Amino acid sequence: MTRAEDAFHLEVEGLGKRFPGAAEAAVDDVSFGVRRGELVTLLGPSGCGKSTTLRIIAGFEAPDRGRVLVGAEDVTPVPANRRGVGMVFQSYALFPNLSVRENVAFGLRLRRQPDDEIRRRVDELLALVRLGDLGDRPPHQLSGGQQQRVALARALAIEPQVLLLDEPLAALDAVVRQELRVEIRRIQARLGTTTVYVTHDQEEALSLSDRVVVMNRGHVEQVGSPEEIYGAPRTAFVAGFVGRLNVLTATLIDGPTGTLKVASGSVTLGRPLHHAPGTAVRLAVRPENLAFAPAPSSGTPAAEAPSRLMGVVDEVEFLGAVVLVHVKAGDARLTVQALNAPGTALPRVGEKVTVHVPPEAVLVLPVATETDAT
Amino acid sequence: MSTGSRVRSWQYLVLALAVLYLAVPVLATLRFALTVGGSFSLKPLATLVGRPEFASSMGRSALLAVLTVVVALVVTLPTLVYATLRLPRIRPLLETVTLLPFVVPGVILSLGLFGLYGGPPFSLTGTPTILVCSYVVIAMPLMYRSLDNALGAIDARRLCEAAESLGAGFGSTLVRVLLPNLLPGVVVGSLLTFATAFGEFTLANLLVGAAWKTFPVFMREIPDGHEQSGVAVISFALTWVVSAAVLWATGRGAATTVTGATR
Ligand SMILES: Nc1ncnc2c1ncn2[C@@H]1O[C@H](COP(=O)(O)OP(=O)(O)OP(=O)(O)O)[C@@H](O)[C@H]1O
Ligand SMILES: [Mg+2]
Repeated sequence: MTRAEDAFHLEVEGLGKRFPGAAEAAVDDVSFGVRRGELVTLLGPSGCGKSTTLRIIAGFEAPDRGRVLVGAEDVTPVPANRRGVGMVFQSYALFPNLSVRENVAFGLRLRRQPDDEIRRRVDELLALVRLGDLGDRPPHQLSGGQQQRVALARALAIEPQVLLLDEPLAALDAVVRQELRVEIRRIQARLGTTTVYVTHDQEEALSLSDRVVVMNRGHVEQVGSPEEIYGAPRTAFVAGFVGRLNVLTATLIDGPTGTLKVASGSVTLGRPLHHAPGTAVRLAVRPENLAFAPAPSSGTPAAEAPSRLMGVVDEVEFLGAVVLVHVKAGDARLTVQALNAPGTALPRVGEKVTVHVPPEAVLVLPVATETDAT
Repeated sequence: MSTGSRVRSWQYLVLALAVLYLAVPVLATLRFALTVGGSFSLKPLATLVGRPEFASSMGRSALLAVLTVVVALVVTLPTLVYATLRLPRIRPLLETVTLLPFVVPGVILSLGLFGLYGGPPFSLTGTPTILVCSYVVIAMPLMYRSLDNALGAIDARRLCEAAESLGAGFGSTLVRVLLPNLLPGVVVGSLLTFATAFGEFTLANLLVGAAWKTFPVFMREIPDGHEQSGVAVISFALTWVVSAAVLWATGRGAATTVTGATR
C-alpha cells in the first residue's frame, strides 16, 4: 500500500459541539478518518451525536472545536454549498415541485452544464439506481424506496468528494430496507465514493461497512472493522450495543489460570487475569457461542466440570432458523442461541439444562466502567 | 346515528342563517341600486361608472395595491425564511411585531405616520409613497401568516439543506426551491394584501386625501342614494372576486399539502 492510499480522504479532528442551552455536548472530541472509496458507518443509540457529526461534515452546523479535512484541505470554514459534499436524508427531501429527472439534474443545472450533457448524466444516474422509466413522475408518485433512490442519484450527480447518508433507510419497511441496503453498497463500491453512513441499526452497520465508528453520548467508543467491533469490543458499551450479549458478574478465584466463580458454577479461561483474587469481574459471551451440554453425572463437583453452568429454562423465543433460549442460572440470566436443526429437540420451559461456556469466546470487560452494558 | 344526524341538521340551520344574514343586505342593496322610481334601471350604475374620477381612482388604487404586494413580498419572504432557517430564536419576536398592526387602530397609526413622515427629512404626506409604506405595514400580519403557513406545510429546512449541499446559495435556494413550493401561500398572501390596500380608507383619507384620490376616498364622495348603493355593490363584487381567488389558491395549496404528506 502506498502512502497516498493510506492517507485519509475525509478526516475529522477533535470535533466538539454543544447546542445553546444544552447541558451536555452533543458531540465531544470526535475524531476519525475515512479512506478514499471507503464506507464508514457512525453507529450508536438515539441522541448520541451521529447526525450532528454528519451535519458538521456537511457544513450545516459549525463545530465549537475541531476541524473537518477533505483531501487534506481544511474545509471547516467553507460553507455547505461549496464543499462538494452529497447528502441523503432520512426524509428523502426531494423537491416536490420538480420531476424525478429535474431533481437529479438540480446540482448540474446550478453548475450550468450544457443541456445534452445534463440529459446524458441524468439518464446514466437513473439507470444506476434502476429508475430509468420513472424520470417524468413527480416525487410524490413514487414509493419511499424509489424516492430514496432518486435522492441518492441526486446526491451522486454532482460527483461529490464525500457522500453522507443520515439513516437513509430508517423510514422504509424491512424488505425494502434490506434491498436498498445492498443496492447502496453496490453503487457506492462501483463509484468508489468516500462515504459516511449514519445508522442506529447494528445489523445495517455490520453488513455495509468497511469500518464502523461506534458512538455513545457524543464521543467515539471504538473504531474498527465490523469483525473487530463484533468480535473484540473494547468497551462494555460496544460489547452491549453491537449484537446480543450475555453479561455475567464473576468473582476471580485464581489469577494465573483465570478461574472465576460464576453464578452456579465456574469458568476457567486458561489465560491469566491480573487482578487480586476476590475481584469482581464482568464477563461477556455472545448467545451464539453458548451451547447446551449433556448434564454432568450427579455427584460430580463443579470443579471437575469446568465451564459448565447449570440452570433452568425460563423462556423459549422462537425466531425461525434460530431459537433463543433464556436460562436462569443462579442469579444470572443467560441467553443461548440454538439452531433450529431438524431432529434436534428444543429445550422446554422449566427443563434443567447445562450450558457450556467456551473459554475462548469469553470477553473480560474492563473493571469498573460507568457506561453500562445491558 | 340519531345524535349524528341531529348535529348535522343543526349545522345546516346555522349555515342557512349565516348565509341569510350575509346575503340579505347585499341583495337588498343590489335591488336598491338597480331601481329608479320603483322600476328596474341600470341608470344609477351607468352614472357612477361615467364619473370622470371613477376610472382614475380605481387605477390609482390598483397601482397602490400592486406596489404594496410587491414591497410586502420582497420584505417578508426573505426575512421569514432567513429567520426560520438560520435564526429560529428571533421568530417569537418577529411574530409579535407582525401582529402589532392588528392592535393599533388606523386613526392612531395615521397620526403617528403623520408626525414621523409629515416634515423633513421625509415630507411624504400627500404622496402615494407613504400609502404604500403604511399599507405594507398594515398588511404585514396577512402576508406573514400566509407565508408562514405555507412554510410550515413543507419541510423547508431539509429542502434548503438538500439544495445547499447540491451547490445552491441562499438566493438560488429561495428562488428555485422555496418560492415554487410556497406558491400557494404567496398567492394567498398577495391577494389578501391586494384587497387590504385596495379598500383602505382611513389612512388614504387622512394622509393623502384629495391630493391623490384612491377608490375608497372617491366612493365616500358619492352622494347618498341609488348611486351610493351601486358603489357598495361594485365593491362587494370586487371583494367577492378576490375571495374566490383566495379560495381557489388555498384549495390548490391544500392539494399540494396533502400530496406532500405522502412523501
Ligand atoms: N438543533 C439542535 N438544537 C439543540 N439540540 C440539538 C439540536 N440537534 C441535536 N440536538 C441534541 O444533540 C444531541 C445529539 O443529537 P443528534 O441528532 O446528533 O443525535 P443522533 O445520534 O443523530 O440521534 P438519532 O438516532 O435520534 O437521530 C441530542 O441530545 C439532541 O437533542
Ligand atoms: Mg440522527
